[in-house]
Amino acid sequence: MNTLNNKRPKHLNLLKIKMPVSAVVSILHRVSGIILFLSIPYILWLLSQSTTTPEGFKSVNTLFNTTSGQLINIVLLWAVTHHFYAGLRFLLLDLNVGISREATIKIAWLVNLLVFITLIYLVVKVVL
Amino acid sequence: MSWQAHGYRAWFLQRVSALYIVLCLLFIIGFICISPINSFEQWRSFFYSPVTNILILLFFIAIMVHAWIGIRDVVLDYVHSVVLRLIVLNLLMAFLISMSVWAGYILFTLVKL
Repeated sequence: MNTLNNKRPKHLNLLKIKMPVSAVVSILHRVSGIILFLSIPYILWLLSQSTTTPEGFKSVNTLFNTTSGQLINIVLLWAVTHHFYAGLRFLLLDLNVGISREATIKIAWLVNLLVFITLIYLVVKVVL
Repeated sequence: MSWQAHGYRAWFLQRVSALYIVLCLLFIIGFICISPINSFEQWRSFFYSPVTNILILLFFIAIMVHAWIGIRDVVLDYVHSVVLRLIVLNLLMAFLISMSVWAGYILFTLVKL
């Protein structure tokens, strides 16, 4: 791995690299994955809390109506939505669909658009 | 020389678990759309059937598998020291296993026979 070209230029300053939209979608897939990973205990706590007693169910309802509860829900819904659409994009790439340069950029913008629309819908319908 | 097989297996498991998670999510969302949940009793009765709970348990198992492969890849990308890698990966695995046990426990207590 290191024997071929040891002195190749390295330029990994993320603030100086201009990334194509597909790279951003890909990085956000990772970021949303980490957020979802960290949310596992929270989700399980919500499940256990809301199913054990009627009071617990009510307390989850109350939590979902507070500003911080809504903010957390929006972040988690964004993470699920982005991870879903960007994941579908990876499945398409696996099937060799849309791997030309123009197509990857189009699909990446499509992912962003679908995430935006779905998230707006979910926030209006479910969170607020 | 078994690295390739491992890589392929991880890649395959990641896709299979992803598809199952998506199908399960769509099932749950569809169910809630058809019969909206407005009370504790309605929410609780969703988990009465052992069949539903087994499907949800598989859903959690798929999430744990998917989360493990995903977080493992992230750790391998950013943590380069072998010792640190081992420590971090073991901690994350312990975390995921305890989450699975908790999920199993929650679902088990909800079944009404």
